[in-house]
Amino acid sequence: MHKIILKYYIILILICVSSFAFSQSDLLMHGYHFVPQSSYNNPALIPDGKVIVGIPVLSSIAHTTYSKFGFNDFFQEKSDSLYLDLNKVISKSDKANMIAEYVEHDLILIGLKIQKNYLNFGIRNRLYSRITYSEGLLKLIWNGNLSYIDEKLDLSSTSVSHDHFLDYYAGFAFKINENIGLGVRAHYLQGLSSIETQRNNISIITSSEGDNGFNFDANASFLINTSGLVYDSTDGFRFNDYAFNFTNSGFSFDIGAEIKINERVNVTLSIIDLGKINWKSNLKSFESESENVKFSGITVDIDSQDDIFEQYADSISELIDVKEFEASFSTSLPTRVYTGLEYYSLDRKNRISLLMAGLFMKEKFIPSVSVGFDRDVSKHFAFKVNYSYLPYSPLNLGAGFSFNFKPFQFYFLTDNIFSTFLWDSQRYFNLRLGINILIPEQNSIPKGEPVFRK
Amino acid sequence: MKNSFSKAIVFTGILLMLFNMSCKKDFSKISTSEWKPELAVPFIKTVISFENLFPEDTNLVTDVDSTLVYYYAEDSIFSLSADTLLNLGEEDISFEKGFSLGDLIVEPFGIESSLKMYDVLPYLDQAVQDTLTKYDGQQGYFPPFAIMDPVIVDADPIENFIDLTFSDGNMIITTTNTLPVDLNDIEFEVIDKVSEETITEISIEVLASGTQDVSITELAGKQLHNELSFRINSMNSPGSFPEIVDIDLSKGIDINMETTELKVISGNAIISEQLMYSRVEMIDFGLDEEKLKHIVIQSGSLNYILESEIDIGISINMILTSALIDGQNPETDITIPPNGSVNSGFNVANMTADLTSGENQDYNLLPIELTMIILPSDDIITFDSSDKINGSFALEDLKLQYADGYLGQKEIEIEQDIFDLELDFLNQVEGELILEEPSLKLKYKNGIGVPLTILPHFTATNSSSGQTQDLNMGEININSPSEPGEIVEDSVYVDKNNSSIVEFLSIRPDQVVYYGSGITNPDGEQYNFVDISSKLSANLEIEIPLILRATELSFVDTLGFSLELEDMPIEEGGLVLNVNNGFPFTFTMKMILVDSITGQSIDQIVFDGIASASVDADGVVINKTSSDIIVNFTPEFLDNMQLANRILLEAETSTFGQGEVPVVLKSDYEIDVAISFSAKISP
Repeated sequence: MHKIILKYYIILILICVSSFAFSQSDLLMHGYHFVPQSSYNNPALIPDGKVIVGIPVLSSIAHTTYSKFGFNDFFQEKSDSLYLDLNKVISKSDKANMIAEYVEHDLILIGLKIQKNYLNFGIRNRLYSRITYSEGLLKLIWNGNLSYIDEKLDLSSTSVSHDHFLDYYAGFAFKINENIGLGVRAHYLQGLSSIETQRNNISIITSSEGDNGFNFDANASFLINTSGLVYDSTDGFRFNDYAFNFTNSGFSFDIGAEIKINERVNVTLSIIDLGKINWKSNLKSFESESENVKFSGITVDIDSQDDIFEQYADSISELIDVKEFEASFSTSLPTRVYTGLEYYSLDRKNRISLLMAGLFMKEKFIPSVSVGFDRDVSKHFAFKVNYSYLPYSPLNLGAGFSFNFKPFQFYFLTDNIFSTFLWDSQRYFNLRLGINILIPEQNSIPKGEPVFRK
Repeated sequence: MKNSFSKAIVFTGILLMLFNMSCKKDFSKISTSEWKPELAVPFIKTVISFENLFPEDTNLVTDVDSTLVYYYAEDSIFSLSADTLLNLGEEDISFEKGFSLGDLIVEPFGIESSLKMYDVLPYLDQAVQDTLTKYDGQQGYFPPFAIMDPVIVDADPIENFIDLTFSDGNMIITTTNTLPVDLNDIEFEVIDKVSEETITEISIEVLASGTQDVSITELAGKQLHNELSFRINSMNSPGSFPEIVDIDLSKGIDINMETTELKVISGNAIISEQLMYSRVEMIDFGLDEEKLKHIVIQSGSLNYILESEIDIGISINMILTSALIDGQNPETDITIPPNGSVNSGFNVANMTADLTSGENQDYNLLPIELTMIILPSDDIITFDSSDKINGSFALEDLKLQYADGYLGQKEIEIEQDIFDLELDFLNQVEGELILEEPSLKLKYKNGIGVPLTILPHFTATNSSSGQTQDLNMGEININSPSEPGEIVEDSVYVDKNNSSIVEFLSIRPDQVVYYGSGITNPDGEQYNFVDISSKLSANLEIEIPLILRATELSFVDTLGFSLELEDMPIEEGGLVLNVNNGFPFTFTMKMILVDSITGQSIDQIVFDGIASASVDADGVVINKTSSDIIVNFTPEFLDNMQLANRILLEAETSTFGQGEVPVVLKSDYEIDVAISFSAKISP
C-alpha cells in the first residue's frame, strides 16, 4: 500500500517538476564578432573570417541553466554531508519558480564571406527545456499536507516544456550601405521530441470537516502533450527512428540589423527564433478524466472480504484517472529580442556595449540587461567581459576569449564566470565553447603577429 | 608564434585551475533525513449496521417496524407422511369361499311306449285270446277282458344321462286308450330297471276309449336311471257289447312319459350350459379400528386361486362393482377346466373403490360380483351338487394413495434428533445480556385430514458449559384440513408466558435435542381423509426481537495481520476516528497487537468514549451522538506492529443508561465511521 502511495507521490512530483524550460543565453556572445557563432544572436552580424567551417559537434557546445534557486538553496552542508532542505526555497519562492535549460551543439557550420556579405548555413542540435514549479508543490513535497489543512496548495503554475529538435538553417547578412547591415536566417526545424504542459489547473485542499475526518478536494485538470517519447515496447528506443523522423516539422526565422550611427557608435537589433514546430508523430497525450476530485476516503462495506488497502489503491487510481490519446500539437519557440548599443574606441579595438534582451515565453517575459567590454587584442586573441542582470540572478560577471591559430579558432564564453567554479551558489550557468576552422581574409593575420599586444 | 601559442596554453591552464578550484561536492553524501513531510490522508468511510456486524449471520432479519429480529429456523423438526396412516398392515386382505355346484338343470326327457293287444293277449284268458285273434281286423263285439298277470313294457334307454338324482322336477305320464272299448282299473308302475325301484305308480279307474289320462309325479328326491319299464299290474275292459266295434289288435294303450323343470343334485349326465353361481360377495378389509369408506389404490393386485372339484369346466366372470379403473369396473373372465385350478390376478393400481356397499356395514367392504357358468359337456359326466370350487381372493401388496373414513387412533413417535442452534449473535458476545421478548414458533403445514395431538420436548444444551434447559412447552393440537386438497397452515406460539424460553435461551444453547409423541384422532371416531401426497411437516422458528439490556458486553474478533513496514517510511502517526453513533450502545474499542511468536499481547491502543445514541422511553434511538477520537501511534507501536501477526479487536459495550433501560435494536440504526490517518514519513 505504502508503495502505491509513494508511487503517486512521486508521480505528482514528476508532473510538477519535470518541466523543462530555456532561458536567456549567450549575452556575452552577442556582438562578439570574433566568433562565428555570435551571428546566432543577430543574423545581421558578419563575423571575422573568409571561410568558416565548424568542426562537427565540437564547433559549438553550449549549455545554459537558469534557475530561481541554486544548489545551495536546496542543500545545506553540515559536517561533510549535504542535507536536502527546502525550507529556504519555500520561504523565498514565488508563485511560479523556474528551472530552465538550453543546450545547443553545432553539427554542421559553414560560413562564407562573399564580398561584404555573409552566407551561412548549418545544422544545430537544440534542446529547450523548462520546469516551472509552484510554491504549493514545494510545500506539499517538503512539509506534506498536514500543515496546510484548509489551505489551498496551488500546483497550477507548475508546467513542463521540452523541445528537442534539429535546426537546419541558412542565413544571409548583407550591407544595405556603409551604415546599415541587415541579416535574415531561415530555419527548417526537425522536431525530435517534445513535452508540453498545455493545461494544468491542479490544486488541492485538505480539509478537516468534523465527522468526515480529512477530505481532499482537488482540481485535477491537466493536459500534457508529448511527441517522440513513445517507443515500441519490444524494440525500445531506436536512434535512427528518433533522429531521422522528419514528420514533426517547423519553421522559424531570425532577423537582425546593425546600424552604424557614427564611427564609434553602433546600434544592433535582432529577433531570434520566431516560429514554431508542429508535432504530428509518435504522439501521446495525457489528460485528466476529472476536472474536480473529491476524496474523503473509500467507502467500504465492512462485510467485504476484499483487501481494504487494495480497494484504497484502486480508488486512488480511479481518482487520478488519466486518459491517454494521440493528438497533434504545436509549440512555439521562445522568441528572443536583442537590442544593443556599442561604443567603439577610436581604433575600434575596444568596445563598450550595452545590451538589453528579452525572452518571450508563453506566460512570461524575462528581461535582462548586460554591459560589456571587449577588446581585439590581436589577430590571434580577443576577449570580452560583461556584467549581466537577470531577474533570478542579478549578479553575473561574464568572460570570454577566442584564440585564432590559423586555421583553427578556439573559444570559450560564459555569461557567469562564477558558475564555472562557484557553481553551487549560482542560479545562472552559461557556457559556450568550441573549435572552428576559420580561414581569415587574406593576410588578415600577418605572420609574427603577437597573441597579446604589448 | 611558438611563444604566442605557449602564452595561450598558459592562459588556458589558468582557467582550468580556476575550474579545479571550484567547490567540490560529494554527492554520495546527500541526505534526505530532514525531509519528513506530514501527511493527512482520508482512509475509510463506512456505515455500519447491525447486519454488518454479523454478516455471516443470515438469521438476523428485519421486522415490519424495522426492529431487528434474530430469527432461526429449523426445517422439518418433524414430519408425518401419509404412508404412516395409509399403511394397512403387513397382512393381505383376503377372502376365501367355496362355491358349490348346487342343483343343476337338466334337459327334459321323455319316453313313448305302446302296449298293443298283441302284447296283452298272452296275459288274457284263452277264450278272449281266441276271440280277439279271431276277430282281429273285423268288426264285432269286443270281448271283455282282464289281464291275469302283470304285463311289463320296457322303454328304450334314455341317452343323455345314466342316472340322476332330482331335487326338483315332475314326471308327467300320459296314458292313452286307443282301443274301441273302455279300460278299467288300470294300474301300472314306472320302474327303474337298474335299481328296480318303482318310480311311481299310476292308477286309472276308467279310461274310456280314445281318452287320455295324465298323471304327474314329483321327482324331487328321486333317483332315476336312464332305463325304465312300465309294469302293468291290472287292466280290464267290459267289452263293447252291445256295440260292434272294429277289432284291431295292433291298438292298445300308449304310455308317454315326459319330464319338466328338472333339477338334479347328482348323477351322471350330459350337462348343458347353465348358470352355476351369480352373487356379489364382499371382501372385508378386516381392519381393527379403521373404517375405510373410500380408497384409491396406488399399487397392488387382486390375486385369486380357484380350485375346482367339479368334473366340468366352469366359466367365471368377476367384477369389482364399486371400483373403477379408468372409469371402468375392473372385470376379469376365468375359465376353470374340469377338476382344474386357476391361479392368477390383476393389477388394481389406480383403482378407486367405494367400500360402503355392505348392507349392514358401510365401510371396509369391497364388493366383488362373481358369475359362474357351467360349460356344456359333450359327454356324460358325474356330478354332485356338493362339488365345489374353492376360491381364494386377496388384495396383495396394497398401497393406498387415498383413503377416507376413520383411520383409527394411532400413536405417532417423533424420533429424537439434534439440531445445531447457530445463534452467532449470542455466541460471539460475553457478558450479561437479557433478551426481553424471545419467542418460539412451531409452524406446521398439514394436508392430512386426521386430527393429531403431539407433545414435543425441546432441551437446549450449551456444549461448552454443559448446561441444559427444557423448554417446557405443552401439548399441541394439530389442526387438520376439512376437505381433501386443503392444506392447513398454522403455528403454535411459545413465549415466556407458556414456556421457559427465556431460561431456554439464557444458557446460549448451541444444540437442541428434541423428541416427542402423538396420537391421531384423539377425540375418537371422526371423518378422516389421507392422500399419499399429503403430509404434516413442522418447522421450528425462533424469533428473538433484539429488545435487550446489556452491561459490560464484550465482543472479540481476531484479524489476521501482516504489515511490512520496512518499505513504509512512517515514523509516527495518528488515527483520527470520527464516529456518529446511531446505536444505543456505548463503545470502548481496543486494538491489541499479539506477538507472532509468544502469542502475548505486546501493545494496544484504545479508542475510548464512543458515546451511545440517545433513546426514548421505549428504548428506540432518537438521535445519533457524535464522537471524535484521535489516537496517536508511537514509533514503538509501529515497531510492535511488525512483530504482530494478529490483532485482537475487543469491543466492550453497554446499552444506553448502563443497561438499565431495555433498548430496541432496529435495522436502520447505523454508525457512521470516518477514519483518517496522519503520518510523519521519512522518504
